[in-house]
Amino acid sequence: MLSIKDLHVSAEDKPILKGLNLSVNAGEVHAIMGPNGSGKSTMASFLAGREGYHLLRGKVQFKGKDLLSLAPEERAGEGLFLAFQYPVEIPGLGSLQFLKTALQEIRKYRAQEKLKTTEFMKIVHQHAETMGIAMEMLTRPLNEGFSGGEKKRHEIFQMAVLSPSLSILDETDSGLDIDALRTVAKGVNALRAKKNAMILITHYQRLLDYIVPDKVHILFEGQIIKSGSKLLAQELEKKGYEELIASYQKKLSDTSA
Amino acid sequence: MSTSSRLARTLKSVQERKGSFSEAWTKLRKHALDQLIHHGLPSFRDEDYKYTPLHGRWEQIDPSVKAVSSVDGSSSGSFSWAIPLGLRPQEGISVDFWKGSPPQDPRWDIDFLAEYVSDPFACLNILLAEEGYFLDVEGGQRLGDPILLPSFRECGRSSIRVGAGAQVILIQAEQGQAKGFQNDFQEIICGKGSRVLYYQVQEEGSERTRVNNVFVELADRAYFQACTFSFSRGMTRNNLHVRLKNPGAEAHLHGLYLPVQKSLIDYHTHVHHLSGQTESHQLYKGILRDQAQGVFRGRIQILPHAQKTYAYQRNQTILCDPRAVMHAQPQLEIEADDVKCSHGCTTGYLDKAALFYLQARGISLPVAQQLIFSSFLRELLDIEDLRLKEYLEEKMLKTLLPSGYDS
Amino acid sequence: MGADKDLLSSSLSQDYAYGFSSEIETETLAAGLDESVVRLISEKKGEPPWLLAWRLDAYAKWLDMEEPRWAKLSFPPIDYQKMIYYASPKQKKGPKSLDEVDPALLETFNKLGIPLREQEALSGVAMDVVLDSSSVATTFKKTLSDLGIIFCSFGEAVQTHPELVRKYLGRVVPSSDNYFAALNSAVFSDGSFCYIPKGVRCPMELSTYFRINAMNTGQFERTLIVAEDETYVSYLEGCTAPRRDENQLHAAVVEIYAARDAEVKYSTVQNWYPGDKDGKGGIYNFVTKRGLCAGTRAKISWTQVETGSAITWKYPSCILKGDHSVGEFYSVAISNHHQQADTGTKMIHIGKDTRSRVVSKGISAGQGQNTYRGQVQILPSAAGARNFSQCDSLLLGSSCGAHTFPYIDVSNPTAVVEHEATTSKIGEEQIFYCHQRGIDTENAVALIVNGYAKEVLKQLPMEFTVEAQKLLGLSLEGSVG
Repeated sequence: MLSIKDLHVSAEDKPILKGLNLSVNAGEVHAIMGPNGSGKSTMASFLAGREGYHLLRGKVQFKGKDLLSLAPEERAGEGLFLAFQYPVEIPGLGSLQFLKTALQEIRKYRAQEKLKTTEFMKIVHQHAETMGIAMEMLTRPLNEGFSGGEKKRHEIFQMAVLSPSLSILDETDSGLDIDALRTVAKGVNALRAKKNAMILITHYQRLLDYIVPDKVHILFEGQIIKSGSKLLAQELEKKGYEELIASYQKKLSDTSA
Repeated sequence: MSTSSRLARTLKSVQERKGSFSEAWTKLRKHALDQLIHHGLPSFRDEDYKYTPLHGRWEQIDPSVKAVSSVDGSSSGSFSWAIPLGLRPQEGISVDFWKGSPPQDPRWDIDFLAEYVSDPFACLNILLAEEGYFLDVEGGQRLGDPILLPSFRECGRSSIRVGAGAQVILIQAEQGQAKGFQNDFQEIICGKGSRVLYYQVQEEGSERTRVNNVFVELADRAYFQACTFSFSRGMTRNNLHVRLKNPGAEAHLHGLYLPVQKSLIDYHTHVHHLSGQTESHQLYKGILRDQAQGVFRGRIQILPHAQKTYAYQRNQTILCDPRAVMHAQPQLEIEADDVKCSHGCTTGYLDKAALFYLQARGISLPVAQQLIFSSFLRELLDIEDLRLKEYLEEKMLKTLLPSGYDS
Repeated sequence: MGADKDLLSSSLSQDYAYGFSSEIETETLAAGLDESVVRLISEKKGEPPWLLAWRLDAYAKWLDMEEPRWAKLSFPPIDYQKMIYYASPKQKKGPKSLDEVDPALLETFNKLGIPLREQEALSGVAMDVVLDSSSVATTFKKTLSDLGIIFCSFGEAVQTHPELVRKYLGRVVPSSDNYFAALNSAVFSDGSFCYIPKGVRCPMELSTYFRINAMNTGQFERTLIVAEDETYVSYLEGCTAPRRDENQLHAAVVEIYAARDAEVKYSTVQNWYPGDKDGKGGIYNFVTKRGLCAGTRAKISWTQVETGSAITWKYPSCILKGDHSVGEFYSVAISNHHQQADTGTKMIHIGKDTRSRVVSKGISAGQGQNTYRGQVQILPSAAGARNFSQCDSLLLGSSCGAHTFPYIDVSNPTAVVEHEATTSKIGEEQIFYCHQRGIDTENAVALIVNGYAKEVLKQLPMEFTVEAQKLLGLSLEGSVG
């Protein structure tokens, strides 16, 4: 579904991603872990098409298409979803109106029929219930006055409504208490399916207790330095990043010597 | 042709105007004429008209060049739910239309007008007004259906009096498309405890020049709301002068400006707190695109002894194009100490983070912009007449979307 | 805070403390202004021909101009022919050292609380003093000249560094700028000149003290500060005048030129005689102050505490021409009794990513009228420009007025301009709270006002902060019953 090959990306003339390789298939859940500044969020934002990044080298294929040639909304239309680390507040814009517009635009991109309001509301009710989102919250302006936990739950709720094929969750667990984390995980797990894939970006292993990944990757200085099963995350939790990075650097110097 | 020779021609055509005027009107006309001769037609050197470059449009304003200004009125079809004024007799209201020379009528408070007329276009209106009406709403009348006020073909002058405790919703639509100049004057007197909602919808064409003067007075506990929604494509200048005369009076002034291409929309408000325990709220918001210009000059004046007054003003603009220009001048003049006053004014650009968030959800750029803009403007549409609200919402969304885009 | 409070309470009982006049022999010209007076002033200063020509040109322009009346100020017509345009303490030649300065003059400075000698030795503030129209002594010259810093009277600079004066004079404030700037350009008699060479951080505060002493004289001093690349200087200005029944005119010009990475801080504590309680006498203060941020990342910061003068007309401004340059304006202005102040700033954004910040705190008491008038202009070239303005007014008593006239012109869609203004009064509950804690009304007002003005006061150099706090309390004496 997603294939990233030798990706080099800079921001403000500073290289951030330095040869990233990643392949994600339908039905898989990948976790990307790494210390602060390793390039996790850059990867997420860059894939979604945020401005301010510069492609130096590399290719990204999404469902057989050249992802990087598409506008952000076209990427969403193709089925890419980014759960933002910091969801944006838009005063005055009602959450439901926003979501309905998004869904209609995506359907338009896919040359599907416009959805009737009743059908749309049916979808909304169904997922709001799973995510424990009160209808009252949906009448409020987008993310305005939402608590940290509410914002993250709302992101997952949007994901459910838009039902993307590839979801990238950018530190969705940060700043959540244990109850909120459980709710978010429950929502995410409900969306796991054979035809969908997910990339979880996280700093801590905690989230992975609730959403069990198929693969775990360690990102450091813009490269994946180690990949493994869910056991890798547990190993990381015990040893910390430092030891892993040290052994990687040792290996690096051994090869070059 | 220079401004002074334009003025000379204007005045000549005014003097040659036929018609019989009552003694009081003759006096008022003389006063207006003296003012105009003394101050001249405004140029960019006049502080009050600095950003309203009317000097480029004297051709239209010059009443002696009538040939080009075949003025059309408005099509009231858009506001079918409102009752056109004078269409049929309505209980609780009386209307007198006039044409030609302004009639002798005690409802024109000539001395008062003379004292307050200093604006050159208010003076010009006194000299040029050829049609108008008197609308009286009986005290205690609560009119549910909005009244659609007539649009004028010539310079119009009207006087609306709302009796004590009466409630009324007024809609003024300005939709002229033909090339021309319109200079209207409206007086709205709100009686004790009355409730007056006054909506102006401006959708005029690019070759129109409009200068409106709306003059409002509020008695004890009167509630007045003026909402002006301007989508006009020519040059529009809205002067709104509100006097809060007695305790408990409350005025809410809202304005929207969405000029495109080379149009200019200019709001000048003057809120005058003459009495203590009065309240005013102003909210003016707009989005400027292409080479459009926006002007907001909001003056709040609080007289000595107008204690326990609350005056609030906010002006926010989004600039979308390097060629667009905004001029904002909030003005506070406060002579009483026990007051709460504030004004806020911001000019900024489209929030890029918000735009990306919407795009990342699959919303195309034009629709995403439209959503952000309409959310920014939404608070202005918090109006009671739901059918009007719907009409304006649709109009706004259409204006905010690039032409040819099908949503 | 305890020390401040003592200062305040001691000062609150005072009257205008600087209202004495000194018996110093002065050399004055006859009242009136014509071309010969301009020539005579230039001759007395021994000026080169180009400067005389510049003055005459300014005079000719002034004759064609009209006195501006757009400010919210009311005052009777000023008779420019009744004024004396030159008054200088009589001396043989410019003093070589303080020992040669007239002892009566030194006594005046002692009364003002600025003993020059001690100043030189103790406080580390280099000071230029302008009495009436002439600069009388500049301290610390040696320490500064070792660094290549030129700090002297304007007249001296004309003699010793004519090329620098000629290069920068009128560059930021042209003689045709406005009526009062033109008048100043024609008849200025002295002032201060300051030049900071490339790469030098001035190690001490530079200071000028202005004093009007003679009767019926106008004071027209001129200050020119040039900060070359990568420099820093902090400049202070203080002023007082004797108590006289006539109104006296003060029309000064301050020009600042800041090159690349130069930072200039200019602070003023203005305490000209404000007139008496009934509005009799006092200084008419019409001042043009402007700084040009010519180079990249240049920064000019104006801080002013305006407590004196019957009339203040003053808009210290910044032209932000260099990319990333910064302009700041911090102001506290008090108008008590019959004082009128129309003051504010102009921030003209020309360069990219330029920033400006305006904090204005107006205080009106008695029958005082206080106006903030400020312009923020974003030109089409100023991409990414940012301005924030905060203009607050505090009203004490019901006969005073506070007015706010911001002018905001934005011609670039990437600029963000924010303006906020509030008006408030001192709440009865605030006073009561102080009373309950044992503080009397006058002290309570002083405390509250100092708190209100804190954001501006903290911008002042340490030496001035205390004086400014003292002045605020003093100026508001008797304003709350």
